[in-house]
Amino acid sequence: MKYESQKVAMYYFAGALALFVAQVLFGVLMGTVVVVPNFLSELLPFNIMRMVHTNALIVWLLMGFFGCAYYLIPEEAERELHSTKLAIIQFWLFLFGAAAAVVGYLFRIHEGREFLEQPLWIKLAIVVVALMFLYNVSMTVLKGRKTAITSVLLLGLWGIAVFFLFSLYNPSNLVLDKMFWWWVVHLWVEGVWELVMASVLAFLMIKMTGVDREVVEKWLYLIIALTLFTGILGTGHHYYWIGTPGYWQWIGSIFSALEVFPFFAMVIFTFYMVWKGGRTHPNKAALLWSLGCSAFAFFGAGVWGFMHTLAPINYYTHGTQVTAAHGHLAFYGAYVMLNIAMFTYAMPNILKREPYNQVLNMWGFWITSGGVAFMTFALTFAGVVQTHLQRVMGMNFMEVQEQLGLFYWLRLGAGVAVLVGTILIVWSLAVPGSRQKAASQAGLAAAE
Amino acid sequence: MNAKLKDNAEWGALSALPGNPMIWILIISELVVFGLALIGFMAMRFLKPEIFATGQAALDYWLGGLNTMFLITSGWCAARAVHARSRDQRQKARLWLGGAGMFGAAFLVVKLVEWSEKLSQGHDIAFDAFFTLFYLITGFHAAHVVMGLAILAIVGWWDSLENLKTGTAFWHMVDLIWLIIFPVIYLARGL
Amino acid sequence: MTEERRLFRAWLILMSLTLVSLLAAFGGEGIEGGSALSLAVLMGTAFIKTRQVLDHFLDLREARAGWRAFFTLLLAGLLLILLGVGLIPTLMQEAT
Repeated sequence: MKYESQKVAMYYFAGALALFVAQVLFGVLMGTVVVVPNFLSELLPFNIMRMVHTNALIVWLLMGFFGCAYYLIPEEAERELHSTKLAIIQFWLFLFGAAAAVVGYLFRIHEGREFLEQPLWIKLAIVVVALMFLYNVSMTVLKGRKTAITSVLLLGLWGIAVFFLFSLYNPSNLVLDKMFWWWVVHLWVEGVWELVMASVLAFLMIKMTGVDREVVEKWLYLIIALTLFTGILGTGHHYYWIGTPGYWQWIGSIFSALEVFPFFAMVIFTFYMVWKGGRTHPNKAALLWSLGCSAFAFFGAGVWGFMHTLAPINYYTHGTQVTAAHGHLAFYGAYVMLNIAMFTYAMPNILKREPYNQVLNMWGFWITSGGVAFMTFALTFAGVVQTHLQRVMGMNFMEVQEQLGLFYWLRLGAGVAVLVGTILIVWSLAVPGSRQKAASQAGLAAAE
Repeated sequence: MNAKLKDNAEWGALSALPGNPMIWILIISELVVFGLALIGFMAMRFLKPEIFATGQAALDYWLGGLNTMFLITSGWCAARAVHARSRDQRQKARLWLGGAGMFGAAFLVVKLVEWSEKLSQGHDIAFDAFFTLFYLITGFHAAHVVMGLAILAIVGWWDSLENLKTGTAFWHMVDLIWLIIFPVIYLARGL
Repeated sequence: MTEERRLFRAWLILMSLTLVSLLAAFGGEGIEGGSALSLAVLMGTAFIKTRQVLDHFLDLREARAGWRAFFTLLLAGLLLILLGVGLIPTLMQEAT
């Protein structure tokens, strides 16, 4: 860390980690409801829990992105942040908006549109938060050194804000409603978020492997070219059976099948950089998360996405547990791991500690990743069985659900493991501890 | 950014290709996309032979052939433009580029005539499986022709040799793809 | 051969092969329109034509052997798949 204002990222990292725990906790509660249907049914119905689970995920990932940007941009632009004060005000406003939304959900106040359930005034507050953020980071970049990493990151962050505006448009025609809904949901996670992911990974590779910036930048260009080429028209794979014209089946199938390539390029990129640059960096845990991020994103977003993206296959699998399997592994691999990689890299630097608690952090990595992977397999099997019984054999929905009980219990077990792993990660990042410090010193010595 | 991109030495294997390396990423990606679409076309032709036989019979061989010759000639002009520019004959290069653009525009005119004729017969994109793919593939290709014309104009204005090579590489890719589209959609009928 | 002549020859080959493919599709003496042979001629001429564009217009003939092989494989692979799928109906007819 070179600039004082990078410290402001700590607010965001802390807020994100707190929401991360809340998100996983609600996930475990929901996993319980699936197998014990009346659990908490009066106090917290399933639909409310689901809103908290998904909204908390998105908010903490965004909060993490904000933190990543506040840490990364001063260092890349080689100057202090435009306004630290504005960044702090922005944080509290964002946290207040998120908290108000959750409290509202608990009292059944919501707009009911999946993932975009926030009441209008909170959506508007989010727009204000985004404008404060974009003003702050854009000014910093404009006044400082411009690099490929900051350009791509800014493109991604501006894209996030622009596409969020479509959440304000809610046409009464259900087809148009869904069509524009995906402009937020898909063009975020399979478009502009990927730009953020690629640029943050590129930053981490420069910092940790010591490979020349020129080489990293070329990979970055390649990755974002593939992302935009496949991801934008890949939106078509959400337009299959929702009342949109039939040609979307072709556009969606072809372009989204190719969405695997940017993720594959990220795997090659990170592993090649680490192989080329060596693994001498003392922060082994951050390196592990970076490599894990590209690998898990490739499987979760790339492979598991491809499994059901072709229209003739999706005709059968649409909206089954296959989707849930894909969603969990993709979000975890691409965006959870990206954020944790950056937190693990940046927090010791901000707190002026040597990379600490590495062993505990890496245990967190393996337990959480193992949990999510097992959950993905359980849900994939559930999805395959469900597809066959419900869509091929024509059994009715609830009869099929009873057949899936075993898989749902396995998923709950995996969810508990994820919760344990999450707590380990948060603990390892937040609590220094003298014993771990000694261990990390030993680790440092071993690395040299 | 452009100054950096010119420094092709660090692009690894991609440095060995003429023009900007990023254009080759695009060329390969486009080939894959159109390739998948055409394989889809052939597969549907097998699954719905009657619909495809009727659909293909409605297409005009000669208009398709004429358009193929327009694009080939246009590509030749573009190659001559690069050749002229490499000998520092800037005005000559621009004339050749203008020729390439003219033939490209002629291609679009024929395409529009063809589409409007089909549309007037009620054959729109939702008519059947054949016409969905016909409009998607030829429409997507024509969109690239439009973009290619814009690129030719841009590199005609900022006419460094590197820019010319990059811009015409895109144009040749549009040509190349048509050389596969034409036999598959227009000529491979019957059976 | 001068540069101009080389480009002109590529253009001439491309134009002639376009005529050949039109004739092959139409049918005529010794070749039946819409037959398996006709489809093979179409894909074969397409291969030669795309190679002409790549080698002469896109200057791929000056690139490394690896790149030339890559594009040959990509195009030959695609055209062979197209030919294979296109021939399925004929093959099935002959089997029955």
